[in-house]
Amino acid sequence: MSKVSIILVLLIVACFFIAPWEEKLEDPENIVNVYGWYGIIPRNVIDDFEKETGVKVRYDIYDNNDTLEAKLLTGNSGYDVVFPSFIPYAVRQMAMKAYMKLNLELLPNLQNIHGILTEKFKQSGGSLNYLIPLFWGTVGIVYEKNAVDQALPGEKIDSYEFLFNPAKLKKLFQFGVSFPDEYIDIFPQLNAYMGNRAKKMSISDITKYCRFLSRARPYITKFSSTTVIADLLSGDVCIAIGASDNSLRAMRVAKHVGKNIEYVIPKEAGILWIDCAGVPDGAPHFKNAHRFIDFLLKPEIAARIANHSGVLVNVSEARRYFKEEIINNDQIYPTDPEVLSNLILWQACLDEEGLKFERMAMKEWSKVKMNSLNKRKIEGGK
Amino acid sequence: MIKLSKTVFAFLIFGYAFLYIPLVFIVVCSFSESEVPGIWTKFSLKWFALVFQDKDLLKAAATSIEIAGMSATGATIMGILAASATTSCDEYLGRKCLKKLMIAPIILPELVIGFSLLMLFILSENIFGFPKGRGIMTVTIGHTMGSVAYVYKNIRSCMASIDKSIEESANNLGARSIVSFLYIKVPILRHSVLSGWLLAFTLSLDDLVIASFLTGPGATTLPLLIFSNIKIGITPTINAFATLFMALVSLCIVRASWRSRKKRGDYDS
Repeated sequence: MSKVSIILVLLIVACFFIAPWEEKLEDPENIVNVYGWYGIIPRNVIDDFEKETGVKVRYDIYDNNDTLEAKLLTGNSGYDVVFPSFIPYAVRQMAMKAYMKLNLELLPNLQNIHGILTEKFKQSGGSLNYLIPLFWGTVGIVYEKNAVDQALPGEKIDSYEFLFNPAKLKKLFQFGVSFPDEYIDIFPQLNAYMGNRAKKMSISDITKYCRFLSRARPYITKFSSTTVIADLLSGDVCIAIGASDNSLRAMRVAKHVGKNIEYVIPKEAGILWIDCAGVPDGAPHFKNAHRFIDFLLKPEIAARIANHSGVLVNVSEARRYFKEEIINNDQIYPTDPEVLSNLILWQACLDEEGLKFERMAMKEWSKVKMNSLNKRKIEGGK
Repeated sequence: MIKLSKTVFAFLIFGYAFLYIPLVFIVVCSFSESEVPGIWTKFSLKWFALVFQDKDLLKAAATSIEIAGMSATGATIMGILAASATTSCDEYLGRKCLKKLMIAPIILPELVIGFSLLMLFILSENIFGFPKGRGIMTVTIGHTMGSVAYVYKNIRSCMASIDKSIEESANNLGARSIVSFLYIKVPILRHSVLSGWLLAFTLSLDDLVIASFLTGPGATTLPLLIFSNIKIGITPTINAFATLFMALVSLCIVRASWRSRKKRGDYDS
């Protein structure tokens, strides 16, 4: 028996050493490990990068920011370029020293980036020395026009009123109303709707807003951020809070299924989101990472990304190459400097107060979702 | 034997409908021309053509199969060893305890396996410099750990039923232990080893949790890719891919059952 065991043990050990663990690379130094969202950067952009520089790209994908954060904070992830969402992830990770200091000399195309957006990025605690604000878009209201017209004839959707006012929601309710899953995607809007757009939200605001929201709660049919497109296209919901890039993709498909989807930045305030490019601490191919980021900052390449995925790229000159569906839609692609500077970029607070706020917001928001604020009122009424 | 009454038959139909309607739905949708998965417009094969153009999808599938093959092999070898240790050896201290401990990973959530392995790998990388970074190897180790208990269960139950006297008599007649193992045990265990291997292969192929903890550059598995698709909205390419996959698996099953029937026919005659 013992001999058999020894042979088998040897086999296991051999299995772990001989097996082709990593794909064979012609030159293990001449690669760049990119970790990004699925479907944002089209395959042909990566092919072109490989052709132009001779650097091989290994493109891996993650499904949410938390997965990425886990990889970054445990350290030595092996990735060279990552694309975290700026608020609250990248700014927090930056404070935890998860990113390497960039060498701006290696990024000549950095001069192409958009002034106003970069200014907002810096105001919210971003630093070009560590992160490049690369992708952006807005969060507004996305709705199915045929259904909304039926529910509210003759009214133009241009305000958060249609999401927060119970009287309006009551009418939209039969066609379905979807709210985001996370408090972070709804509180900035609430704050603006309440007329406090310039003011930072305080902890006492949370309870006030949530009580307000609980009156609209009976008319909310769904809480989901990821299925907005599918829900609108299948007719499950007629109005939702949605990001501009998702909405653009929904519009593209809508024609095929006989729907009419529109996207609007509400007049109170649109919400801005930014996804950054960063080089994680300990990245093995520092130079190639810069080459890759720099490549994405080329106007023509940036436009190809935008045309493919609907995600806007923070490169001013890219607009020359944009498709008409983007360039002609000032809601999807706002160019007016006034509209742009009016967009709200949520502030992250990293101190003790901020954490307290975050916990409180999460707790109260889940109460709204469970509809427990209303129940208590009913019980009290008895 | 129970006669197949109408009620039982109705339950049977319900049971199979429950199992297969979602799959049929996917297959039907994969032939739809619509851009939105789940809506039928008209017949088209374009998504099947797109599957073969989607380099990322094919690469992820290849990675998944590679990991599944290696981890299934590793788990099977470990399973055989563990099963021999707990069944055919003479009584030794702690045998019962070992037996119980082998099963523990079944009830352990994958989340715990994934996270604890990640912590271990980081620690050992900091101390020994091994494993260097994370990638296909770390995912394979994780999957091996996750599936070894299932393989062990499978093989042990078969091994325990082997009459020990056969092997003993072979040894008494002068066969060395390795010879008796190869000529007596291996042929008897053949089927349970194979089914254990296939079980481990399947477990590894559809694991998402362990892989998402342990993956690294160049090691995006198929479930990770499909799951990440949700952010963009799943495209019908996934439907087409699933259909192809199901066709392949059904083909294998049909072939295997055909072969075993033929074999049984041989024995009978």
